[in-house]
Amino acid sequence: MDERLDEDGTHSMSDARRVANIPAGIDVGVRLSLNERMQHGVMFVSFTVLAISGFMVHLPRVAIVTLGLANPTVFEVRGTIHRISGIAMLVVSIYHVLYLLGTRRGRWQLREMLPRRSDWGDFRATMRHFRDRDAPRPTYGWYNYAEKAEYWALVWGTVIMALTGLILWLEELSPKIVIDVSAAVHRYEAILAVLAVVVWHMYHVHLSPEVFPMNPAWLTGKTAGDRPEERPSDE
Amino acid sequence: MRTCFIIAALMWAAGISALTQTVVPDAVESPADYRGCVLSKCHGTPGAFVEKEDGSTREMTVNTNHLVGSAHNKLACIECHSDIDEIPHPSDLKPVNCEHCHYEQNPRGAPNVGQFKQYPESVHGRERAEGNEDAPYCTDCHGIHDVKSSGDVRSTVHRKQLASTCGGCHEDESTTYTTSIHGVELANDNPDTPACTDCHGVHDILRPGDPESPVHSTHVVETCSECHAAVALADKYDFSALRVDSYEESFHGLADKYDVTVVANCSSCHGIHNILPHTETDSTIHEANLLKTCGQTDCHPNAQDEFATGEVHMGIAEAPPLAVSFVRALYMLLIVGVIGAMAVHNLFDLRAVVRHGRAPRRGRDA
Repeated sequence: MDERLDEDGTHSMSDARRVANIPAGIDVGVRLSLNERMQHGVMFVSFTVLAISGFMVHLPRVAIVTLGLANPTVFEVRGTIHRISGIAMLVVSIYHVLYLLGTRRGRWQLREMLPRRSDWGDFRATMRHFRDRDAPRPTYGWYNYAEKAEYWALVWGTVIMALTGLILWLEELSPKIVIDVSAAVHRYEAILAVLAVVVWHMYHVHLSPEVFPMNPAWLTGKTAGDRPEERPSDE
Repeated sequence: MRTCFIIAALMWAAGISALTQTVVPDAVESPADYRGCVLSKCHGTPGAFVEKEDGSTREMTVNTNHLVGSAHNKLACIECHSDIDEIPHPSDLKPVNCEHCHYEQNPRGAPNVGQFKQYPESVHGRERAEGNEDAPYCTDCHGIHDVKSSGDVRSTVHRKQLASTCGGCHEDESTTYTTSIHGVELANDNPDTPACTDCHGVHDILRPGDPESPVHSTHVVETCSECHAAVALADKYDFSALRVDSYEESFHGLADKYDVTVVANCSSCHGIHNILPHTETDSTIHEANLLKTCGQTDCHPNAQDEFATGEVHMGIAEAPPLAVSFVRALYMLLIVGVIGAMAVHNLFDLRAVVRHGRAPRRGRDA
């Protein structure tokens, strides 16, 4: 690691504290391992397919007819695809939990992802940086607060969607009120999740001028350049 | 020459009958009237039959009162039985062709509602064309010599008589209908309640399984909506015009938009000819029958007790359950709050990136 200061002079790659506590066998040159990239891939595909096959039931009738979808088979296949994708997401999520608990890299990633007191400090420093031209951008850990927020929102959303999705799938087992509440939760959580991905995830990994057209980590495992904030934390 | 002969023959026949019996109705004033025929020995003798070539018999008697009260009381026999060109005429006259008069823009003003375009394509017309003698022809519904305007309450095709007329063939449906809320209201002279034709069509009736039929499962919702989503009727009878909207919001309605036929439409739950208000114990949507209705073999056969308990037309027609309202409100807050905060955060981030000239990392690293 070189001793170069970032151009705003706020942090350097030699900040020894922050690289102090890396367990043996963890390659910090790799942002996402192949295993993790494949987990992301399954999540990405299943999320997209679930969103399309889910929201298409809310297309207006005129759009359904215009697109030539007014056909019972379309609806049937749509439902089957939605359920298969749901299972895929559920399976990769369960695998992910096992990965986090069962592998050395997984345990380390989980530890890095846990919210810390410093995240609040980072957030406040970032707000100052947004407000004041002179306030420096803070140094983040391996995962910054934005990434942590997104990750835990995804965990929360997956639990909610899987639970309500299964209730709706096995509708005959539940009282109507449970089905009605599940349907409402499933619908609104889906809107929240898709909007979060579009507004938050898309910005940070694609649209931000810092990474545009994209942060290639999800394909190559590595970020395009040195990303000073992506360092293991010392906690 | 031929016409002269026929008129002469009619007058002769009239003369005979005047001598023999029967009072000639005063209402009949047409010069080319039917008195000669209906008062003749041939058609005026009660119980007179003619034997046809195939050995069957046919009643020859024509009831004078039928003609007097009919919409055709000014017509002469030959205007419908146009293949008569001599008296006595052969016994194998062709069936009357109503289209002689009831065509579009006919000069006599005979009613035309497009029946000759529609009937051949209807299930009745098609069956008839395929040789099904039981399928109704014009006269089977409208009557023969007693044909009347459909606005005449004595007409076989007046709204109030339809259940009985259609019931001549469709007996079970008719019986069920007369006990339904629609049938009972019709008997009570309610002008807003549907008779057979309001749902099934008139001259264009199709099988319920025909995708073009207004009672095909893909069209039931729009057919019922004509009344049950009509604000004027909703106000008059104190039901919610938004009930159909609430159905369309439900999962049943969402699937129905895709023309899914196995999903519940109005009649799946409310019944077809047996529709009754939920307050009636015989109603398919009476509280005690709901589980059975939801649990139909093709629907939710494993439904548990609580499955059928709760608001069905939820959200628009009635206030949704508290839990559902709470979920909606919570998520509205979350969506606006969280997504809004994310958008604002990223706009500031964008400004900071631009302000500090933090170029794409790829470039900086190079």
